[in-house]
Amino acid sequence: MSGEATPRIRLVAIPDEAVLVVRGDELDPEVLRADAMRFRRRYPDWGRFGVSGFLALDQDEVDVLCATRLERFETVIVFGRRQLVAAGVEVVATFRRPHVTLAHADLDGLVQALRSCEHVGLDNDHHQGGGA
Amino acid sequence: MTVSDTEELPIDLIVDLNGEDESGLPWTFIDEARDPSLVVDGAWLVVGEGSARAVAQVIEIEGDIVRVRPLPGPVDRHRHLLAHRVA
Repeated sequence: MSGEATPRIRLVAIPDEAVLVVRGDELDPEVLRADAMRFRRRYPDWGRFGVSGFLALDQDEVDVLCATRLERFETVIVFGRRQLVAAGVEVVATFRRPHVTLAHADLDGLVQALRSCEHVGLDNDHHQGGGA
Repeated sequence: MTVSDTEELPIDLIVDLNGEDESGLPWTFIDEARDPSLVVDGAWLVVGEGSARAVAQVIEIEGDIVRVRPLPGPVDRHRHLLAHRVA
């Protein structure tokens, strides 16, 4: 194992107006589970399972994310931050803005909460296909 | 191995393309590679997970952690970079 055993958490709190959380995803439980376990393996001292997401203020910022960080994803999922928290998912500002970690102490709890939380699935108009 | 235009390319290294660490780059563990011998500094690999794919360069290997920089655009656009990939 290399590096820190906890993720770097930004000192600046998530702004109240950052109401959306976006993730390139199809909410495939196996992918979510694998990502969450990999995160836990990397950061065992934090005591949480986690998957990555990105904050957005509005649909314009969702579109920017779709054109940049998430352009490799055919589908993106947009959650309301408030709805995630209500479902028991911590939204933690980790690493560099606008990255966040969606965290939960329990692996099944995280996967189930993400899959059942109210969300919108968007076709990514910036995805260029032509895969492997 | 040479790479033809029609060949289906497997994922060399499973990486969550949403993810990043303190480096700002997507990362994974070296044992997530289909063949760890492919994962060397500067190598070009097919990375991704699920239906998401990208061609990426190995930027850093630190212990068992591998950091990659994915290229924008589809894998097909960057097939020439994979020509020296083996296994």
